[in-house]
Amino acid sequence: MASFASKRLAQERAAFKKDHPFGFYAKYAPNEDGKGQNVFKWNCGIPGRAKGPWEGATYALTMEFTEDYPSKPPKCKFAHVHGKPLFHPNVYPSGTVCLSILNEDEDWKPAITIRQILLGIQDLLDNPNAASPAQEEPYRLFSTDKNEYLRRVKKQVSEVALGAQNST
Amino acid sequence: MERHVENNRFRQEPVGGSGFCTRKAGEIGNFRQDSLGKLVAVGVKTLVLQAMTCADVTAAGDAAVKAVVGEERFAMIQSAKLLVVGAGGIGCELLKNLVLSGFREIEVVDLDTIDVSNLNRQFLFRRVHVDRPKSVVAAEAVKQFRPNANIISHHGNVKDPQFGLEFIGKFDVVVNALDNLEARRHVNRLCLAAEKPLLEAGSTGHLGQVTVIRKGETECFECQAKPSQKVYPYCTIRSTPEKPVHCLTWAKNLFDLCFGPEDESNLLADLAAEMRKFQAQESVDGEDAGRRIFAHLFEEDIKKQAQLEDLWSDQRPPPGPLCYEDALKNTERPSTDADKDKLETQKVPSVAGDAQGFVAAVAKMYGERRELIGQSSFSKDDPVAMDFVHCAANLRMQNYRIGRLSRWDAQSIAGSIIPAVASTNAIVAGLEVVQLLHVLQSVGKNMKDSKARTVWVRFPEPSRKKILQPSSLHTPNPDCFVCGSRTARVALRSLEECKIMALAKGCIQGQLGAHKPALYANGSCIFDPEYPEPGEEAEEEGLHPEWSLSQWGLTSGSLLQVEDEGQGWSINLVIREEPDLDEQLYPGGFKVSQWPTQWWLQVEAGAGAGEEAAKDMAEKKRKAEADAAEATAAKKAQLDANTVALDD
Ligand SMILES: [Zn+2]
Repeated sequence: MASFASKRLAQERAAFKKDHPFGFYAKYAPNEDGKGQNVFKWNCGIPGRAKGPWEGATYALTMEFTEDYPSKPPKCKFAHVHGKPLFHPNVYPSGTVCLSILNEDEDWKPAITIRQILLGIQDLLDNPNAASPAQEEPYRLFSTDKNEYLRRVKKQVSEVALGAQNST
Repeated sequence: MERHVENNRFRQEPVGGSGFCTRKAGEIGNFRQDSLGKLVAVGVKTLVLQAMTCADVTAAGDAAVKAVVGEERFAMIQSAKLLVVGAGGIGCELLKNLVLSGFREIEVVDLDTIDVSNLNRQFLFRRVHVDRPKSVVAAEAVKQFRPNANIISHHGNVKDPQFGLEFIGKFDVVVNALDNLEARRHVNRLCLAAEKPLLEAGSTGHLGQVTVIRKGETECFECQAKPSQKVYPYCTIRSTPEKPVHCLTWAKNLFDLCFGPEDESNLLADLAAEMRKFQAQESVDGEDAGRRIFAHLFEEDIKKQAQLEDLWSDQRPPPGPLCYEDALKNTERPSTDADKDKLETQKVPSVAGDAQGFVAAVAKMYGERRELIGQSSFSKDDPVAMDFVHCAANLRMQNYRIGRLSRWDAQSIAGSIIPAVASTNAIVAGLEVVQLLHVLQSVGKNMKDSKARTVWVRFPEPSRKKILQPSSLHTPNPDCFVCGSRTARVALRSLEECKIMALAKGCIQGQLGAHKPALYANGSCIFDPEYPEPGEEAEEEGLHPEWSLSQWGLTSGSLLQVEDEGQGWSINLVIREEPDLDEQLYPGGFKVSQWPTQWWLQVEAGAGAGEEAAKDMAEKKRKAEADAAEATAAKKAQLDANTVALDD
């Protein structure tokens, strides 16, 4: 905790608690043994943006930090839906999000806040990046059959709303 | 003599047409004391408003300020963004001074609404404003002086999250006009975290102080320990009072015990059974109850105390019991020549007066206040409660041969109040503006090299003519746990018994002044201010506020990190178990001390057996300091204490 990383995380949490976008949450994950909370692992939730195809559910995501944070970005991972990865072109089969601001070789900057990361991922849900495919099926449907793609997204919205997402 | 004529002319000059302008307007600069002992502002630096239209007033006022401070400084004044915290006694004066000095960008925060009792000195307020927010009315009022000023008011507590670091970050300087220690500590920490200069001001009675705080350059508000609300050792209160304040503390506890809800932590809980006999009865003859309580407390209980031979010696004779009939015969009033000009409440009553007053107060409680018994609590502003406490304390002082007090003095000690003096507030607010100009000019250089000073305002003693005492700013205390090393030691009796929530509340919030502390140990977060109490939700988050420190794996010597989520402040605590921690000295159960940066010097000095001696010395020193602090309080010379300005 005395480390720079944990200090920054504590401040991020205080800042997020004070002011966070509606419908989002981000908090330390409880330790496995139920004794206290892990500063380096966060449980987060991202709501689908209003009037977009993802509206109607909040998507659970974990963020994992290392002692190198904030020089290195956290690893952001969506929880699986019915045991399958979140259906999105830029989400790897493991659930990991592929986004330029989460890549230290691309647009990651130490000044980026957790709030900004979450908002960035929310935006990515509605606006997939065709230049960085991460999951075969959603990518193929998104590029070739938008109607089917949207149908699958909507189906997933109702599944997640009914609690189909389990942590991985 | 010539000077005198000038002064008189000055004071009599009609100022302005508006009711608001009849006060001495916008004084910048030094104050001097004339031969009559009254304050006059010196020379050209005083600006007097003429009866003009608003635009004229603004233009003329600005021109006058510009003439005094010069073009360059005036431009600085006009563009500076200020946050004023507090719109009460000092705040009203300050806001008026600021706009009349040309400041244009001001936001003001205050929690309070206007009370009738404020009107005598918080001069921006009128009767029609009663119950409206102070910040709003004050902003409206000073806008009439300078319609072009942009003043934004916030009715709220400066501790609310909306006034956090981001908010503070908008301003160039924060100017305090607060009357309580807690809020001043909070703003101090916010300004340190946001790296904004802070003007700190306070007044108590005829004493005042203004100083400048900037992170890393000057002492912060908490670099020097403040005499905080004192907690007296139990046995002093219960058996061996030596000072009036001990008896007043006893009497306050007695009031709550007799008329308040059941409270096991009441210092006099052992008397509870006796007192509650009366509470339970359907109808009680108040007079009779009063006399029986009297006999119980001031006669029988004292006899019992006197028999505890171990407590008494030649230096400390046992107390003398007092029976009601004897008390009534003692009608002599201690009086001095000085008494003749005093109000009745400022004179010490006779013992008979105290005895009758005590019984009358009990009778009132059982009469007109019957339905409030069991739910009352002491307030210095409640006349019946204050009568009860004053008389009870005086009777106890009679038991213990301590000089009794007038009701006036009893009230100021019991409520730890020192009356607010409008002139002191005015002087302090004027000095803040002067210091503010120095701060604005110190941009880019160390505050210590600027003209900014700490200035003390003192009631002039006849031998000294000076009211103002400037002193240069001090460098930060490296051991300060707020702006310096950020490490403190906390000793407690038992890691196994102390719950983490008790540590957070009693020690970290209560003693260290944190607002929303999150606690971390061994790389985990072990306490979250969002879950201060145990419950299912807390448990789901892996939090157990009811766990003891040892359940959390803390041992003597463990390091605990505190991140204050409300103040942007943090501190490291070194926890130490001291099973023999003195309950009398630390009734809260926590001993907090600074962790000196050069701790090795102490270790060397106190090596081995020396440690005990060092501890002893430290304790003696602490006691001496506490006594000194108390003596100061008695003289009402205690600035910055946890005092409340009368009626604020
Ligand atoms: Zn300090």
